[in-house]
Amino acid sequence: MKIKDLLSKENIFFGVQVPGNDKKHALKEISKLCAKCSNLSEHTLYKTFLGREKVESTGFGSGVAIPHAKLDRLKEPFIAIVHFAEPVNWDSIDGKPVEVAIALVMPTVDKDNTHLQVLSYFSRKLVDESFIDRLLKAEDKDQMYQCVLEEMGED
Amino acid sequence: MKIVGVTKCPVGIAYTYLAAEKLKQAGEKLGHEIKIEAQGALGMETPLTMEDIQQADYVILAADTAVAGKDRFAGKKVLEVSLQAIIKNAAGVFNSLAGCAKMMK
Repeated sequence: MKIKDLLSKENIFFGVQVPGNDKKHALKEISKLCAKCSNLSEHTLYKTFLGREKVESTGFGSGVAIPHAKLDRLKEPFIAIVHFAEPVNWDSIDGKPVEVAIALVMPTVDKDNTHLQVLSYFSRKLVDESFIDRLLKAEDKDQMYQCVLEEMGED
Repeated sequence: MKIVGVTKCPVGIAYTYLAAEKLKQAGEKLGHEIKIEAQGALGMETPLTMEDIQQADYVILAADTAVAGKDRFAGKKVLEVSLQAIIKNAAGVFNSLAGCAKMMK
């Protein structure tokens, strides 16, 4: 199992516009895009993302957020990366607005845990400032995809 | 110093691991010996042994939900913090250990 199995280039969205640049609208846009990548409805995704944000903001600082959801009826787990046209006020841990959201969508039960292993490694990687720096400097989805693959040691 | 810790977030697929890595990196940078048990959706990653706990000078419990096996830390100097505190300023958490950790009964 590799990051490539979870993240395809089609799941990277660059320059997404968010009405009012606020978090709820951003989560709505992310849900809409994630619905396109999966068998789930926009409404289900939105509700689950929002529920997680209520526990604690997933804006972990440095301009990046990781909205995440575990869902019962999801067939294939996936990662989607959404780059915003304008930074979004996300109520982040460090107070900074969010430029890139990395949505992690997993099934509730992962039979052999292979997806979670990739995800655990990827989450740890997000601590790496040079990775975040590179991700934020990417100028299009190709650069973003390349950056993730290289940082995860797959290219 | 030797410092052990546990991280756990309610969903268990992101912050658990992110915080574990932050603690590890920040602690090692400060010259401590670190071992962190990540209680995520995968189960326990690098679980703490009784020996780890016995040898530890301090224990950091970083969780926004109940940590499994808390009774293992009875008699140790324990600091309980939110995952937010770790993600925001992990070095600050280490620096507050001496002043803020409390003996767990």
